[in-house]
Amino acid sequence: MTTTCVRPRALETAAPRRPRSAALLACAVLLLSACALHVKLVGDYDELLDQAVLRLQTSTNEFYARYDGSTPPAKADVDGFLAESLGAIDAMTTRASVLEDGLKRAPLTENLMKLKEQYQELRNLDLAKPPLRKSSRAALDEAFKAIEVQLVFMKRTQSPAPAE
Amino acid sequence: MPKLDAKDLFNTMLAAVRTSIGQDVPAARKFIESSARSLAANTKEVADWLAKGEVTVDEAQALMRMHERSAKMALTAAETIGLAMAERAINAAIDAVAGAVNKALGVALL
Repeated sequence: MTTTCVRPRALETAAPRRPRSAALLACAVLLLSACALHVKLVGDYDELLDQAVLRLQTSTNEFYARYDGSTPPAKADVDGFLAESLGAIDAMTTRASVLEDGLKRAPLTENLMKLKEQYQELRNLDLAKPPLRKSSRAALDEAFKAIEVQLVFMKRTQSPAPAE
Repeated sequence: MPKLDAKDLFNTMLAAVRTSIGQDVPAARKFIESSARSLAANTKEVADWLAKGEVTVDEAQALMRMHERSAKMALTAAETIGLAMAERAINAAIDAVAGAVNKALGVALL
């Protein structure tokens, strides 16, 4: 059995060339006008957040550097360091979630939450052992690198403030 | 009133997109390659310590969870790079034709 395609009468008369390109142009203009207010896919860069991340990274490096020699960290030192770091990350996560509010994706907030998990994981490690100190520090370095890259690209994408 | 040509608009926008993306791609690639290299090196180190008995299985697993999480963070950062690239490329495309469109229409549409 064969099927026959019946074209609607309206389609049989080919549209003249000029109106078609005019329609295309109208579509393009409509599309562009829909984008008149620039597209926004990433959150605004925030200098305070950037500085907070840098402070945490510095205090983390200082903590590890203190125990680079043979002296292992006391449990109280580790607990104090973790409590301070986790509090700082909570504050940063809140700020990031405000910056990424309303966007489809919130990758900075997501990474700060993962950074918190990294610090929580330190509780499972005996930081008196040099290999655990070395490897956990390397993991934290990579985690900070990821967040720094995000902040750099957010800064680069930041639209210039409109002229007064 | 000057005419607007859809093909010209498209070509101008495409050129702007290419210029915008061209600046970011090498940086993104370098970052992702560096993260992959670090993950490989850290995994090998943990495996060696475990083989020599310098760390316990639980400790090795905790370390690997940390390295895995850092690798996931690198992927999330790569996603940010992609989003930032897309945002800048789309906005560059709009900016590239804004002058011509506004002039042709006689109103500040873009």
